[in-house]
Amino acid sequence: MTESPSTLSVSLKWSAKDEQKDELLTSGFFHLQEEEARVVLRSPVEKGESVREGGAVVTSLPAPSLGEKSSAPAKGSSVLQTRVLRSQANQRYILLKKYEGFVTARGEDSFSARLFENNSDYPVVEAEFDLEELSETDRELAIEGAPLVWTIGYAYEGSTRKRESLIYLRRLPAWSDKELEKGRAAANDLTRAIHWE
Amino acid sequence: MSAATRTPEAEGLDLVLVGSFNPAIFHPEWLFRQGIITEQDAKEANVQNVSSEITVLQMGGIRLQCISHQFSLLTTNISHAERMQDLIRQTFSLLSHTPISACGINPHVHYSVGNIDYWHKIGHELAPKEPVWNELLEHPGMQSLTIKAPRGGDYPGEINATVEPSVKHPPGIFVKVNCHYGLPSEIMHAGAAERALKFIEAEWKPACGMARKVAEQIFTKIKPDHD
Repeated sequence: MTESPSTLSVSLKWSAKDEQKDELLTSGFFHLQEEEARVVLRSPVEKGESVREGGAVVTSLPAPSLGEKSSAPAKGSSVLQTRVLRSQANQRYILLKKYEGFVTARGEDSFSARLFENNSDYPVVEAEFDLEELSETDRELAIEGAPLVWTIGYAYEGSTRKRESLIYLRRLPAWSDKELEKGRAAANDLTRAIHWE
Repeated sequence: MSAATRTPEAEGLDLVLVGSFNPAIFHPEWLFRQGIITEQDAKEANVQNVSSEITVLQMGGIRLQCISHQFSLLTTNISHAERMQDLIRQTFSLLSHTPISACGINPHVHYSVGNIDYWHKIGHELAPKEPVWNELLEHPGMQSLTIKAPRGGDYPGEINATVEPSVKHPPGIFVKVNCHYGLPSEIMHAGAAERALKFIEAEWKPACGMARKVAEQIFTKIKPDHD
């Protein structure tokens, strides 16, 4: 048996279900998987701010400053407040086909791409797309060599099912100096390994 | 229906980093200013909460959750998988000094199995009720089964594969897989983020396909009686 930190995505848990409105739990104790949930947060208070904001129940308040008669917490102090968090409804999507590839050429109104489903695919698929298929912000990314993913599937909106074709131009981090150096070294090794007849 | 022709009813993915995080930084405005998301995505993001204790926001079909010891990206729309990978790689290329102790690529998938007898058969084959359960309980059924196995390669860790009844598509099965990579403790404060991102890049394809692979193996090895 080994003790290791869990990377299961279930350890973020909500503090209480909505019906447990009056129950106050400490922050840092989260339960999961409710689409609507209440968490308890320690929030700074501005002067004059209601401490019951958002239905919050305050359990402990700092003593008022000298000369202050108000029972409200001093400005800048922290109080526990509940907050309702709602996740968006789950999107249901059925993936039918997925191609990965890269842009091979770009014209005025369209671009071409070489695509494959698996690394072992041969021959690869060549396809041409209208630039209009891309969102306005993605169009500038469609340059030669740009990696992309093309997915085809069924997306659901309630009980309505629609066929969807999505082209996503990838936004990868820039190559680091270390990676460039490693690439150059690998290219040099390959070049040296070629024995010309 | 053969295993090869079965199509999932729904498919999603979670990416989880365990370490030490500052939840307050993950605001759509920050992500936009760093060139990680577009201005449009930032404007349309649904911000549930951004604070030093917890951040929860939704951008398109991707949910970002962060507490002090865990950063997660989650989607129930698998077409966003590469978008998620890019988001995490860009974010932690910038936050390269973040101490990270573990990383998980966790795909999940729901399949309908068509009829209740076949659904029971899968449960009985995966978790036999003899010789233990039938004598103890009335109508015992499999609720959840997790198989753990070590994972080798350049980024050794473990795989936790869980099979459960699908509550969303009954009668059906739900398979979730946790491809876990625990980073060596000596690099937690020196290059952990870089190592975690390398793991994500290298193991992405096999890890993302693992839930489907488990389900396909179940359908291949356990056939309905009428086949």
